[in-house]
Amino acid sequence: MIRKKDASTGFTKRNKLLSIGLVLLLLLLQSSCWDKVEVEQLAIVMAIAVDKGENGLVRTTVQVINPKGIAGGTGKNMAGGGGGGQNQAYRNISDHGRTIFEAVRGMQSNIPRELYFSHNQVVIISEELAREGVAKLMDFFDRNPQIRRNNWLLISKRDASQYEIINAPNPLEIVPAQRIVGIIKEKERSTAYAINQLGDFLELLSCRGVDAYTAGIGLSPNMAVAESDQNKNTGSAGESLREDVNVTQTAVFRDDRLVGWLNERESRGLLWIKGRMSNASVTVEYDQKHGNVSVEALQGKGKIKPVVTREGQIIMNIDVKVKGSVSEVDTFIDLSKPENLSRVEKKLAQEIKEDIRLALEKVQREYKADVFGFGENLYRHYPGYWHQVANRWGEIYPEIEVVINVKAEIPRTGLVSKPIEMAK
Amino acid sequence: MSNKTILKKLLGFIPKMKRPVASKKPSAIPDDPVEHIFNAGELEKMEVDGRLDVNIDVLRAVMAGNSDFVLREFSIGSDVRAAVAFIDGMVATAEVHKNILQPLMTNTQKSDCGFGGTFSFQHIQDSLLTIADVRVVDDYKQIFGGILYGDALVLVDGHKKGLLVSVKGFSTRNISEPITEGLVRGSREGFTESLRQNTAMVRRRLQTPNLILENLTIGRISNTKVTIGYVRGLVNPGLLKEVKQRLSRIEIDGVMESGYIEELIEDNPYSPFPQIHHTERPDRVAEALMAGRVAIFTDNTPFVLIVPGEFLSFLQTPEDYYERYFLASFVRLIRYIALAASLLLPSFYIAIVTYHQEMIPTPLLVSVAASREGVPFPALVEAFLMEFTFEALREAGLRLPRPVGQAISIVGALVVGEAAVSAGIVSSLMVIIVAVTGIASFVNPAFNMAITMRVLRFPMMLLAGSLGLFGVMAGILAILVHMCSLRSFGVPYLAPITPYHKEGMKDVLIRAPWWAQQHRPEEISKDNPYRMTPAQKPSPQKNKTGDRGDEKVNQQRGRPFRTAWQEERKKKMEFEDYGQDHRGGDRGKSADEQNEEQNKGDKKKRRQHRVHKKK
Repeated sequence: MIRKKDASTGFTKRNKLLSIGLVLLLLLLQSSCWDKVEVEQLAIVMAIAVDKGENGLVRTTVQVINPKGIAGGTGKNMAGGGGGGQNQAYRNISDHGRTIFEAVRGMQSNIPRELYFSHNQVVIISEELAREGVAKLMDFFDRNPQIRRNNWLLISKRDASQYEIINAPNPLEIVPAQRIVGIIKEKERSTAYAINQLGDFLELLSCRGVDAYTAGIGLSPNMAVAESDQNKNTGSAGESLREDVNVTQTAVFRDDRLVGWLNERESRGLLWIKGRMSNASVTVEYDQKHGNVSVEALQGKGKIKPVVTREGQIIMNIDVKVKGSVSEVDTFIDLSKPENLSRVEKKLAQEIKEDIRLALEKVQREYKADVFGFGENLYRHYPGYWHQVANRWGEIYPEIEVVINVKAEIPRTGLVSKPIEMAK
Repeated sequence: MSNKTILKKLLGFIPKMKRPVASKKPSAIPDDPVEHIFNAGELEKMEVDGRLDVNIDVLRAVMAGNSDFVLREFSIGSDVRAAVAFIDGMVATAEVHKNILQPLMTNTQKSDCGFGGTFSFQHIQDSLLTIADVRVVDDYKQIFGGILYGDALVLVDGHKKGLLVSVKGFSTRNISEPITEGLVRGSREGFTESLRQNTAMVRRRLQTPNLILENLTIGRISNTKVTIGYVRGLVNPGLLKEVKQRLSRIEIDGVMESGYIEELIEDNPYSPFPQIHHTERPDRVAEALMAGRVAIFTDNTPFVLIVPGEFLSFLQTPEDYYERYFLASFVRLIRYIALAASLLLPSFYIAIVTYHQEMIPTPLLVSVAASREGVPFPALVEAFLMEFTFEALREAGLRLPRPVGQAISIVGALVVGEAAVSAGIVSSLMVIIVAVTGIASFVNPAFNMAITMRVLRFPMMLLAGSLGLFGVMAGILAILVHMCSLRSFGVPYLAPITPYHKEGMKDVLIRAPWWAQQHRPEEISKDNPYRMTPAQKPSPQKNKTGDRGDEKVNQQRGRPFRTAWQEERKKKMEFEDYGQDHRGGDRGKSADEQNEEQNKGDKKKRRQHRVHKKK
């Protein structure tokens, strides 16, 4: 065949291919692969804890896992659990710095691998720091491309040292960070705290008309351990511990400062309004004579609707719709009768209303923090009016009248409609 | 088709010379016949002489030095001299005895024919030789073409022609199960090395006079018989012309396997992708012929070429059509996944492990990191090491004698699977990746396509190791762009995905049931789109509602069995009709003109078809 010359370049086809091949070969001489890191060269960080250090410095602790300690490597030299020695599943490293980044880079002189944050799951900030304001800390987490926005943000209680929290050994999940994440995964069943992911928290911080909140973490005595055992806390595998990590309560922020805590019940109130309830357990007293009914709230929807009256008064309507099923009844109540069931529904609605009222009391009147997003809702419904009051929002907010409407419905009563009646 | 035309074709590439009229006797026999090289042109010029002695001299001279050449002189009747010549081993000697020598030597004694120099040559041909295939030849090219392919030559003194008697008797392998294309359900016959046996197997499957098997000879030394098979009326004449033209271009010493031909006629010789299909299965060839493709049979090899070969046809097996469509579709899905895995799995692993650790779930990352702990090589080198070992093992197992081959697999399993991991040279995860990739590449039904994927895997791994997922994506794009630019005998390589054909897609990701696949592959048989009459989906009789019910019942009730457009299509598909009328006179035109006309006709047809559908 006749070899055609390409009019534009004057190369024959073969020459063209050859030159492409040569150019590709040149690639091998380039010092490419600049960001190549083998997996085993990474120190995978699972948790970051930030605390107040000495002399105004920030003390940062990271929890790094040892893959061999977890997966067991070849499986031959695996030691049990989080025990000491070479094969400990994790290691905590701590350093001081004026910024978090400075501290992290400072740690690099202690650890032979690149600290790698992409798989970080938990960020813990101490209460002390949080009360001084978290905005300056958040910048590190916001800016760093390795930090994911789905990290869970927790505030450690004043009385618990962070080191203890992220070092609390436990037999179930080998790495404490994984354990904390495991607890948070079951948050729907616990309802004792309202938690936010880093991304959501940052959004709440940057939004006007809404304040941030997130869950707290602390240590609590393990009631499953006998009194006589209480001196031990060696942490070897299979042993129950004196103190357990406990994710509970909700930290409430005003602007970027922590202003106070909501207890379990108030946290539930917050969750009702936010509509983040599912699988929650609510126990109501049926009446004086009978006992209690536990209801599993399967679906909770919360809605805030502001109304501005002609006089300029703001009224917030909070509508909560709950669907649930009866999980436990501790005395004889025939729930197949509609009037009995509607009584439970009514009681449930009352209970929820009370939850919300307590939460409001604390947040609105005491902390004056707008975690419910009243301001944001007002802006959505009355943008013009919001602009008028935005500057005075801090004064107006605690005085806003709130109307709470709860609609509870129990379509299911579990497998039995009548509890067992004792033979007389 | 007579052998004469075969022979004419066989040496068609040599410019025909004017035969010198005067030269009645053969051109001078060279002094040293052993040293002289007789080429086909020379042989063609040499004509059979009237004197037997001269002919015998020529035969002896041409075949000088050949130990397997047998030439027997004898007499017919009492005084007519004759000779029979053949190649020992190529003919059935018993046939020569019984059907040539016996009738000529013994029966003529009693015959009352007037022998003695004036007897009829025709008589020998018509009455004495009891063999079906007898041809009269008059030049040496034909003679040697015949005896070298197992014919016996009968020469009679005083006649300027000879008789080629077909008494082929060389031994061939029996028909056995195809080794490279086994299946669970379907014909167990595979092609053999015998060309005739192979064409007969296809003929048995397509019993129509419209199955045309044309002969060619390729190879200056080997003179290999090559047969082009197609169904007249179904095949695109442009395609057929192209195939013939490309085949006639081949000038080579010999063709030992259809692979020679494949490389000499394919569209893009630089592409790693195979563009011509080869198969050992007659049913597959028959199916392809019914789709309007062209088959190229080559003598002495069980592999038959099918053109055009598009990418997707390499991922299909005959069994896809024999099993019910549920299973076939499922298997096809697995095949596509395996194809992707065999090409991309190691490169994805390398890219993620060295660049994109954030992309895998934490527990997986932990186990990957744990298994790589202490491995001295980067993932890329590790992967290359393992892939190389695997490929070497595969090749070693393939070539070694069978008893030793087992030892290889033991060594491979121990070395690769166990020792390398426990020695800490490779990670156990890499062993899994390589093993899965290996399995995936064996899922591919076409060996040549599997090899392509296997070879492309290595540049992909390099890209992954140097540029991460970006490199992998760039590689995939480059491969796709290349595939889009490929054509096999004018058919786009990625048809019917791109260019998109709705009907063709029924045979791509899934294999639609037969009653839903009424169209032949559109790119190949444009003019004969339908392979079956419509409305054949099995359903219970719906006598009361009419349309889809039993034909008889509907006729009684005065309702049509098919709708108007279905009826029309059925009429179109009558046997005679697929020998396309409107194209009959176009064969003389250039391919471009033809294509243009076809396209016009095609569009018109499609439009009509659509209108019918709307009704």
